[in-house]
Amino acid sequence: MSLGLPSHLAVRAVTESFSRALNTIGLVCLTAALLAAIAFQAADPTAVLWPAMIAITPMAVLLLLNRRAQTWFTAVSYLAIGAACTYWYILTFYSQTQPILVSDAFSISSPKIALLVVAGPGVGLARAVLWMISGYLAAEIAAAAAILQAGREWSVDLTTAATFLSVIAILGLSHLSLRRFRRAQPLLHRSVRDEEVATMRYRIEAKAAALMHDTVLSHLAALSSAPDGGIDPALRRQIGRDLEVLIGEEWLNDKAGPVDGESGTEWQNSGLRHAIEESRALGLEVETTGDLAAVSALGREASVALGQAAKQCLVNVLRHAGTGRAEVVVYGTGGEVSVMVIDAGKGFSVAETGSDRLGLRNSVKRRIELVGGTVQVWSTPGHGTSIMIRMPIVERDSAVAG
Amino acid sequence: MTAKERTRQQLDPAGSIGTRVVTSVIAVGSFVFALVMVALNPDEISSPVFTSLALLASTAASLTLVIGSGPERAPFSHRSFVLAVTLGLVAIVLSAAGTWSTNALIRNDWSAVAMGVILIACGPYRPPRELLMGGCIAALLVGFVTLLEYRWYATEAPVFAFVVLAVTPLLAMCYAGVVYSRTIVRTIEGWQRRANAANATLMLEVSGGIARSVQQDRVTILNRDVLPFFREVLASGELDDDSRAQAREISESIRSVMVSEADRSWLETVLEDIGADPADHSVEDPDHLASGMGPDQRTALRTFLVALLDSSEGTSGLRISVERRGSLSVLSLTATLGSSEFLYRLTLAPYLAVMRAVFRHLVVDFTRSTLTMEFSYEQH
Repeated sequence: MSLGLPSHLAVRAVTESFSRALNTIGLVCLTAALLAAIAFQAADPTAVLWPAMIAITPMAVLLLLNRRAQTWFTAVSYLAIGAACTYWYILTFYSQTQPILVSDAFSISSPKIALLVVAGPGVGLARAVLWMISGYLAAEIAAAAAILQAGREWSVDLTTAATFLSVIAILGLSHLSLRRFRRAQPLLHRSVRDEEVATMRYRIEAKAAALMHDTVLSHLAALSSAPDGGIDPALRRQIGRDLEVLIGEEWLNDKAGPVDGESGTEWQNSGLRHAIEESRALGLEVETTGDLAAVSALGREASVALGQAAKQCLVNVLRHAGTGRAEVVVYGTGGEVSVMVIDAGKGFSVAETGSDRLGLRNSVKRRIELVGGTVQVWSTPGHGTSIMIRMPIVERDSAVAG
Repeated sequence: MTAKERTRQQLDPAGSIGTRVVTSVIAVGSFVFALVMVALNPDEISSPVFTSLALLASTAASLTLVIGSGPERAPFSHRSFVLAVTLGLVAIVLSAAGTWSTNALIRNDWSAVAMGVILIACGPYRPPRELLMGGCIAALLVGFVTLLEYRWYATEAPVFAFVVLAVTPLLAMCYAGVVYSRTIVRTIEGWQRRANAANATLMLEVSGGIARSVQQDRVTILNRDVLPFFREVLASGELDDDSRAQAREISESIRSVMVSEADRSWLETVLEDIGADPADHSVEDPDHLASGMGPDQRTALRTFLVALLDSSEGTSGLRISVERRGSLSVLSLTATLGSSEFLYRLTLAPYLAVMRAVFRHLVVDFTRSTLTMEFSYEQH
């Protein structure tokens, strides 16, 4: 994510947005000028107003061209040809009969405002103001020339002057207001990066903590409760293998898991199936039901996390539930895969679970939350435990931030 | 967090604080314009009461803009926009009633221009579609009023020309607001896409380094007790009371470190990251609700804390607590200010604007050298 524009882009963004807004005002004014001419012509067929209608066309075309290209050539062309068209338009109106002449607002202001809101190339307040002054002068000179040529009396056009001053004031204020608060942006952008780094570190630390729990603490617990004499060969092999992983380079790499390659999310190669197989090897009787193939909808990282979390659930059954049997139910709905690990063991009070129960906390809940899933636990002393893991189906290989 | 609207104020909250000045000047300008037009054309007023009410409605619309666009109330809400537009529409109707049967010159009709001013002033705060809708409704009303008043106009011209003249300033300013809003939103979003892509690349580059650093930390811990113990046990292949006791001792030691790490709130990590004095702050987040904030919210709060604890200001005694209230999490913060409240308000204004854009119900109070802040959010 990113919070706002950096300083160097803010001025450009405001200039460009203003240019486009001003162009729009110009287009509306030209449309109004054209419609007014059509209305007068329709009301009085004897009037000769078609030259005014024609005058609007090149102006509109150049305005659109300038909006698209906004180069010196298009802006200056708009000013020059626009001034000629404005002259033509006003002269046409002023050459008509009395009813049209008294309605100054129709005949003068619209094309003049369209001309003064010219937006030329360049960034910044000074350039924008200079272009507008050029547009205003061009419009006033064209209007004065047309009025004088028609033999009428010239007077200050208050509508156009007020529009010119208002636009200049708004433009100036908008640019000045940018300066005061831009100092906050560098800190904001640094925080965006710091937070992303912190989030990434948190995710890796969480993975490390879960792995540490699943391997080191698990083996230490097994050793501390093992009988005198020789260590179980299976445990020895497992410790040896885990030590290799722990001091190796691939410890925190996502690829270091039971899931294989591209086909890693198919049931046969899924993390959940590996977890069930490993739990069976430890002596737990695991019954699987439901739509096992549903796990193939999960991405690779999610599949690995699901397998590791389910393994921890099954290990917990073996260690704490006082039963040698568990059931794993898998089902998939439109947007998620749910896995339920159920045992009919001695259960526990969820509300009284201590914060030191790292297995459920780190190796199941946090691990699943890191890939966007949720975990719910239902357990009552004497009535077994059910753990529901729900994983959202997202695009493969894309991790969901926790 | 409420869904972020695609407006300049929401996408660039810190950079948009200054637009309030522009909005205020435009609103005051609109009021002065209306007043001047009324004062210069007393002959056109048939009902001073309606004209006064129209001015009042227009002033209320301008005030809605000024108040609603204040950084302390950001973001400018849909409700404020609807209120301002409604008041503008009421002003159009009342203004027409005030000049009923005496409206001679359409170019003196200020209410349609005032309505256009409201719409263009809302460009930084509201999405284009809303502005367009407001403009179209207002244009229909202005057109209808023009049709009703046409018979009294002094100038002889076709009625369609009068309608065009009446709606032109309104539509020009409305479309300008629409285009401004759309263009600046596109520019900001374009920049954000590029910045996010660059950040993602950077994160990919640094992720390896972070992973190695975490691994080194863990290996260092393991090398101290765990690995020598496992090697010894594997080498001997035998277990006795001593080795079992040692296994329990190491396990407890590691477990206590891991529990303390897992109990750590995100807020504590942030305060440590930004170098806050641990003796001078406290965090109460027993349910780890702080980590339930979204990425934007965490970034906004981190930035605010960095700005607040800037050493040059001498902030001290930071206390933060997070608790659940209903479906929301509520964060409360207090701190003792090291300099004047005014300076703090000025310095923190852009960061508070960002906070308001991402959190609900943010309340800030600077009194008696103490900052008190509270806001709520939904768990992600």
